[in-house]
Amino acid sequence: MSILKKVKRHWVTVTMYIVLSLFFTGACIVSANTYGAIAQAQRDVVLQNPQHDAEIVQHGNLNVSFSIQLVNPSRYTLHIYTLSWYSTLVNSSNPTDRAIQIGEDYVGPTQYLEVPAKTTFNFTFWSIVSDPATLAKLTGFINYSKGLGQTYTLETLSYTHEFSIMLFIGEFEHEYIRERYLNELVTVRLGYSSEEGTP
Amino acid sequence: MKFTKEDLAKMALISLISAPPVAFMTFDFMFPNISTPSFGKSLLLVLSLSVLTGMPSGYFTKRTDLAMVSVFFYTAVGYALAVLLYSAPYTIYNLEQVISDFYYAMFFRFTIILLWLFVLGGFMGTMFGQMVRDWISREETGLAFKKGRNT
Repeated sequence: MSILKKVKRHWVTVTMYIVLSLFFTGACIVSANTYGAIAQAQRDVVLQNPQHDAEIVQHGNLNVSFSIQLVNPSRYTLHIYTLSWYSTLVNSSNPTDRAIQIGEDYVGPTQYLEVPAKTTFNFTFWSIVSDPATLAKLTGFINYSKGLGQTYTLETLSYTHEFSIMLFIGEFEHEYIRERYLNELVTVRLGYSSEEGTP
Repeated sequence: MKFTKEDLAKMALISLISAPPVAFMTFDFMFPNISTPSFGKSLLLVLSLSVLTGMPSGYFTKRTDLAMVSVFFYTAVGYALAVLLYSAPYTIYNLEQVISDFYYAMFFRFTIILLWLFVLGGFMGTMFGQMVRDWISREETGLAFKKGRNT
């Protein structure tokens, strides 16, 4: 009873402190909500529908292509920090040059690429192999495989595709160098390898 | 140190009012990049807000020992609330991104200075709150005497 009397007597001060407390309660709820949404985004942002193809184009050159979708159902824009694609052919016939480089692409932080919120973003890469040395290596591999009883063409060779991407969620990237966990919290790392299958 | 029922009720009310700022400051100190608003790990701001947060316990409690216990009490409640905030993705969204080691790292290792600031700021606020209350009380008494003389 005496507490109620005191509250009534000091109602201005009490109201002021209740407002302060409510403000921080609201800030706690908003922050926890952001935190939850970020954790959700880390789980929901995925790669899907990887597709790869190889075809002979003009002048007998080889076009190797790869495409994959990045699904971003979160409410945040994703900022691409790094993105890379490598396409190779594993050449088991040559012990010193086991991987024949077909194509590659790399995007660094300075490119400022973004994946808008609630969208599906398509990444498409291709590489025209016109270098006679590379084509000769591929043809050599086809001939070597023929000797082992396997029939390949430039279009049906099992090229491997490696795709990896690192993104930051929203504008939450921070500048404290000593505290890496803050950036880890808002980082999404995804990868796909055609050797391993589904992303 | 004896507590009456009224003392405990008062402490509970003060904890209810003062715990949310402590919880927010703790969460913000851990994740300044995702909290809104953010103090950006400014310890001076944390100390200032701790003083402000400690004022009600001094203002509403005459007994200094009780006011100081209130500071410990609301700091503990606020800290517990911050642990709950950290667990929010797991408890509300059923997500497993919460790293269990962080409970130890964040709440027991990295935040010792923060806890110390909350308690120190709380004590300063308590003293300041008591000073303000005494000053208001003196002014009221003075005014009452003046009024009495004039009538």
